Amino acid sequence: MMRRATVLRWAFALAAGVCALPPLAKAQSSAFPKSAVPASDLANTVPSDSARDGGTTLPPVTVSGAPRSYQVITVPVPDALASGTDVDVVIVPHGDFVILGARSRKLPAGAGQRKIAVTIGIPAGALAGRLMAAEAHFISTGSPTLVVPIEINVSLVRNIVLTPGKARLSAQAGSDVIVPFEIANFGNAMERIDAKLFLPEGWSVREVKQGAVTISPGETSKRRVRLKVPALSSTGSSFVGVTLVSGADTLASETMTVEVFNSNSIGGQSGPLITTAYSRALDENGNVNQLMTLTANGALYDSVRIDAHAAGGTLLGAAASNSFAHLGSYQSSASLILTAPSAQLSVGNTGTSFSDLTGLYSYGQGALIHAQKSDWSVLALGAYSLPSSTAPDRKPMFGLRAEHQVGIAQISSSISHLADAGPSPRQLDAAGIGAALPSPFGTTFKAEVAERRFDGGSGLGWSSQLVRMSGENSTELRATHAPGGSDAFARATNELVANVSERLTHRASVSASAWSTTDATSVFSGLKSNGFSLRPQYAIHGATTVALEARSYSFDANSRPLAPGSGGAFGNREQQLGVNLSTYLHQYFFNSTAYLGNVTRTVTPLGLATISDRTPRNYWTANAGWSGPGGLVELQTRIEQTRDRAGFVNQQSLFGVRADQVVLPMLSGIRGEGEVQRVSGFGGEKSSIMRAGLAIPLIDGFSVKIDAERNSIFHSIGGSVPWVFGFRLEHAITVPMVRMPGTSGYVFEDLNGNQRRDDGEPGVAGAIVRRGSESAVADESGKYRVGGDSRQAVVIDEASLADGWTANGSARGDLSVTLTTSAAIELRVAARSGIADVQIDLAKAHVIARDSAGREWGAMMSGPTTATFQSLPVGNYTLDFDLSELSEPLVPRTPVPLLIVSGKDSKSITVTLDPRPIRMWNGSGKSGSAPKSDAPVTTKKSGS
Amino acid sequence: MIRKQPVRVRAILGLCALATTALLAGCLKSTEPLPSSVDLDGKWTYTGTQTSPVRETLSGTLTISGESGSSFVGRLDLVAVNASNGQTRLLAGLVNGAVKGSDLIDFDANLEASPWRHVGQIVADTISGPWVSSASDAPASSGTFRIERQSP
Repeated sequence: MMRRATVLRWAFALAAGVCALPPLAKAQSSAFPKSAVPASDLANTVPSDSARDGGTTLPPVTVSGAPRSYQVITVPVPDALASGTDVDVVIVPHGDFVILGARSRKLPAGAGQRKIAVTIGIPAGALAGRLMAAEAHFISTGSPTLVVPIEINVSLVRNIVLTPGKARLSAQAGSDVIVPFEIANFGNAMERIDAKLFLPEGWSVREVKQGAVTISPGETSKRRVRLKVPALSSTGSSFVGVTLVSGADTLASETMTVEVFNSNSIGGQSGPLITTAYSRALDENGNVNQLMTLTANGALYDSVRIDAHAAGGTLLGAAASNSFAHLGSYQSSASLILTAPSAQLSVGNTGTSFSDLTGLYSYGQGALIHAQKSDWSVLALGAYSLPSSTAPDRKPMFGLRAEHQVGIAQISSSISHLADAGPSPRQLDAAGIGAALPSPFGTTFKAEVAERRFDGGSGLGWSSQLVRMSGENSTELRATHAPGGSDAFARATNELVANVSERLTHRASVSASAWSTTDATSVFSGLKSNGFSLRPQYAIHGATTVALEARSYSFDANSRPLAPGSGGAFGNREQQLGVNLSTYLHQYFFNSTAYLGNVTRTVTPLGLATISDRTPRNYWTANAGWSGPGGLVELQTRIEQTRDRAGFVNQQSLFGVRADQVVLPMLSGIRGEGEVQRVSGFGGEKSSIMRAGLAIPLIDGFSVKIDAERNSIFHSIGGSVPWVFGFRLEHAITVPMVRMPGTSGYVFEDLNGNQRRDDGEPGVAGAIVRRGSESAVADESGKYRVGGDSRQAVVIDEASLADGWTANGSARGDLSVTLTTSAAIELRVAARSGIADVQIDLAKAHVIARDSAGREWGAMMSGPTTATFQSLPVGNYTLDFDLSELSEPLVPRTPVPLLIVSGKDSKSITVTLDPRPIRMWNGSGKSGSAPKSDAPVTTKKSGS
Repeated sequence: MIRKQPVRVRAILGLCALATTALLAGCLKSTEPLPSSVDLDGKWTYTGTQTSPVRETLSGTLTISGESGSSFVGRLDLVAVNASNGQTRLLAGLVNGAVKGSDLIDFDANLEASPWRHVGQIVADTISGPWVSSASDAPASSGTFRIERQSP
């Protein structure tokens, strides 16, 4: 800014011929000749901004003003001027400064005017700082010309505009992305600008140091910032903020969106997680228990997930089993589950439920398959029942259930043969049919009937259910009659259930349930159970909820004689009233529940009268703690008391501290868990749990877990309560998918327009391809891999291509993009028969370009005789014409030239259209007879 | 300036205070234990099954720690193993019961939200019989048990 002002001053000084002299010398040597021409002529002849033929320069007059403003400046008339003569004043503007009003004026002698006013317009582009705006020349006979410089101190205007690059930004996770932007200085001063970047977490700038940029007024600076996108970035939009600052001032700010694609989400890194573990624990009697486990969980390949588990070893004692559970090791039969969007296959340890009437809770070892489509599904099980230590027998089981959507109804049918062994064996052969229908008020009505055959009988079962699910509200009414009851794979013989949950206001809700069941089993000849609960709940604040609950439940059982002389009836009736308070603040929580109640117990020994007693039963529980990513720490307490008929109170108190998955400070990566619990019972009976565990990550996917527990529940044969130690060494690794998901190919520049990739046709890095909701970005070689439904075609997002490039439609595999350009077809209508001009409106002419693959493009009539193709890919095109809508048929003169599009430049060719020639006959022939010759005879025709 | 509480909040606070008072008033007062008329003190080995709704095998220890007249109190610790998937859960709770008649043992084990009612016959040092628990909104769970006195 200052440099330019200085240059202007030097230019002015050079033009004045005094550049080499200091101001004082200049003033002394100036010899402005006496005016020989009128002042007005001088004003017109003195070129602005420079020309001056001498004079004495006086101290300047300085004012301040902003660009685009006018300033009225008062210039004093120099005292040195002779008072007895007229004075001519000439105002000479500099640069783009504008003088409003007359540039010359005359001050008559004796008028006594001591100052003049000059109005100067400051140009919009005036630079900030002190600028010479004009000079006032005072010319008087007998005196040297006196020059008063007029300077304007132009105020600073800052106007920095930050413009992001127009191209869409996309990047592959783990690679770099270049973020371009422009900085334009529309102010009036030179600016030194720093660009500050605000990056998503984990991103970094590749350049070591981002220097400041100096931009003169009116200049534009293009910047490119190279950013590193972290490999773990997930697919989606990320935002990069750019803020331009100068010193402490923020001048401009923009946020740019970068579309990040992580092919690992569909690539080799996201295959199943294979975890192999060896666990070892001592049980309560000091025996060594060992367990090897192998699990696989995750995507096997496109849309297919695997969940597999296998375990083997020696498991002798309950304490070791409990220790293994703490370590995450479980001993169960091998199982394998493959899940796809439309099917699931479960092999090994498996089980399912067919329906309320044709079998619930059937488990065994075999295979289960569940296939489903939009309007049907099939569930099939074939297995053997699980053996037990007391009943090694295994029974075959199979079942089949099919559902089909017929109109608005869903029809189902199922057939099953289920059995298992054990102390109370179950058996069922059933066949049933059911339906589900939409009903009024948003409900669904379901019904089923089935013939059930079981050990000792058979019967027709039925069930009906009305279900309503609406947001947070739900209602369920269910009535079931299943002969055979729970010994025939049902919940009970008869069941009546009602559940309602309603949100009354945004703070209040209520839930209620009532039920009644009857059953008969190998243990009980009759077992009746019924009850209800009612729970209103109110949210005092967003995080604090209080609830009241009243509940009552009872049962009456008639047991079969398990031994000679045993059996009889007994029952319970329990009533409770409770209150619950739960709240949380940030990561801290508190929950407390208290119940008051009583229990009425009856028992009728075989052949004796009923004995009844009623005792109170109260308890209070509370837990409070902290929960977050760093783990969970919780304090727990429970106090419970009852009283017998004699008034003796039995009270048990539990206090404990529990920590789970807690990140240990100073031991990075190690998580700890532990529990201390003390239970005080009647008569000084104490029991306790002490447990501690560590999970220690090692290297290369290895980790170790250790666990130590002393629990009063486990004691040795000798009665002592030992410490039970457990250890687990595991290795976890994510393996690649069996088959890489998605479709792969290249996005390439189809330079010759043949839609095949030829040698020398490069890939298009950064091109975005989409299929359905899936998307991917091509790597540096142009290669892409995209997921989604393989039946759909892959399309290129043209917003990711450079200007002028377009995709050649959707396809699979390699995708071509071509440079497109406009092409104009100039239509020239030839004179009729070479002699008569033809005037035809060509607006309804249709020009079609057809490429080698037969694809067509249509042109628009952009002018009276010009048809324009806005965007044609590279290639050779034949032209077709549809001129049928013209007022007079025209015929393109053959051969029609080939339209060749080879680059970015527009193409233009001319096609001649010939009118129909006029044919005339000499009239000698019979009227209406055909001419003897087809040779046309042309004649001159003007006008129509 | 004292901010006036909304009527609704005051009503809720009043309800909570009432509930707290009722709970405190509900704390039980105990009498002195009566001389025992039963001889159940000590540790017993518990084995059993849950036959409905889900099959589980049960094993653990019953500890009778106090007796008063024909009543007794104690604690039951159980390990329940799911027959279908082998998963283990620990159950522990207070026991209170009484001997009724000459050989009938009747006790509740507060292992879950609702107690497991055990009614069995004692023959020598063995008690066996059925048990039932009526949980809320579900059919009763039930099974059988057998308890044997451990050697002192």
